[in-house]
Amino acid sequence: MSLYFKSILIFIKSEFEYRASFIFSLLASALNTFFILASALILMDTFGGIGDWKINEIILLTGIASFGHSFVEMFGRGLDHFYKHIKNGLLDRLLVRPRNITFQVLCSNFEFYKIGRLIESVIFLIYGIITINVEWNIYKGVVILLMILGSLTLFFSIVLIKASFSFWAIEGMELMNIISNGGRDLSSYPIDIYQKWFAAFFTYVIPFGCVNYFPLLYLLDKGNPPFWYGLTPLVTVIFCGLCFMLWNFGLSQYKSTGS
Amino acid sequence: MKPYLSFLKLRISVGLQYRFAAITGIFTQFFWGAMYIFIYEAYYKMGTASPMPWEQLVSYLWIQQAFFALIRFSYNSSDICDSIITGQVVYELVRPFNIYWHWYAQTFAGRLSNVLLRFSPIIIVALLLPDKYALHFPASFASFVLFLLTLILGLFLSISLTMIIYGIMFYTTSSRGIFNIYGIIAEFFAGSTLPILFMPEFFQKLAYMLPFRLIVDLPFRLYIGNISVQEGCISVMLQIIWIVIFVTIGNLIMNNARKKVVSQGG
Repeated sequence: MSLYFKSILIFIKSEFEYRASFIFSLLASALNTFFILASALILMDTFGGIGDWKINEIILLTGIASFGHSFVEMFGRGLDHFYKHIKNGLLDRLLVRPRNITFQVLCSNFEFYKIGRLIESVIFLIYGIITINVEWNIYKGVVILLMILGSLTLFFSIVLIKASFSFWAIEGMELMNIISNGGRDLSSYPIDIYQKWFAAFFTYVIPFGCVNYFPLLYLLDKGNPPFWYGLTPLVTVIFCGLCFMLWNFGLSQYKSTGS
Repeated sequence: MKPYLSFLKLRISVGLQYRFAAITGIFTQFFWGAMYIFIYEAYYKMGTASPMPWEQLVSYLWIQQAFFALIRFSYNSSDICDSIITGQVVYELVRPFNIYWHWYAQTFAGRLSNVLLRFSPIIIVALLLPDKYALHFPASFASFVLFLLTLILGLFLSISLTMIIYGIMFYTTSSRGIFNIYGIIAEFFAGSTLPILFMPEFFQKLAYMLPFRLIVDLPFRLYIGNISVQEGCISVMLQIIWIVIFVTIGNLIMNNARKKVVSQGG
């Protein structure tokens, strides 16, 4: 662990070498999410809501999605950009070192400037939690925690898929962004606003619905939800396990391209 | 003959590589288009009066996806940015070219080729979708001609703006951040994040004062017939004026930077 912090510190220091660049990048990453949420708020204002959802519920979901996404973007950048390691041969160097590969890949990159977006998502989260109309109890507190952690696990699983995918095809990374960036944007709304097949895909194949829609129903007591709706974020743990298997399989198959 | 054949083979394989990227790109654009359409569909189900009729909005969203690479403000040639940061630019500066127009052409080609590879399949499939989700034909022949004209002029305008940022990079060496901030703000006021018609009055006024909407909002709304041909013609003049202004500013910055450029070793 201390090794990990050391490598993070090195990346932070190197980023501070270009201070102006760092500040601009930080602002940019925060502005992006801000404008996306602002657009949603403008639309909600124009149309008087979406489905039977209220503005603060959307803000909460945006916070949850964006927290998981930006946290993984910051700490999991090594996996996110893993395809570059395959291209430039860094993976071969990592393989000969006597440390866990996943750990080394995670150490290989870190983007501190994403902290702008992370702080912003925490603000959305807090605002959402304070303002939504929920009768809080301990279990519901656990549910909201599960939603946040579930979002984190889910986006981590997605970068694992992305990294595993690059063992077989390096060029298709744009496609993978659909589930990371696309997932963040689409899960800023409750999954039930979408067409059935679309919502089904993002619930049963990639479990976005399990970290936003079902637990939110439970929190808000919408339509007598059973108590296990609150536990659906746990599905992401199984999903993450499957992704790890895929990743390990990819690693075991890996043959260097030489050079 | 042999060297030419192998050259041809090489070019084809390079082209095929880009084709794979183009196919994934097309798929990606379809996903985003569908996602936005579903989100708007949920809003339109609320039954509130909307500033944009549904068919117009759907067409707007599909054109946006089809010409995505053309209107992406943060697009820049990474070769150029890298050359400024690494100092390679010094070699460019000693060549007997005008660096401004050289880079202008390079960025222009980059964006145009990107679009040419991708836009037609998106347009064709979007036209064939079920009526509710389909791209519709342009409002009239005149508005279609104006759409093409303003789209191309918009590209010139957009690149004139990018050139100014390349110029600024000579002074700051922070390419990533500046390009991203510029991209996000410009895209919002261009009507990419949200069509300008949906915006509150204050933002609409601001958007109309800024040049960015002439790159996205203007051509797209001409296509769907939301802006009259008459207004379109006036806007073309506006586009040309902005282009002249920004090209002049860009040249000034670049020339000034060229005189002061200090290569930081190598």
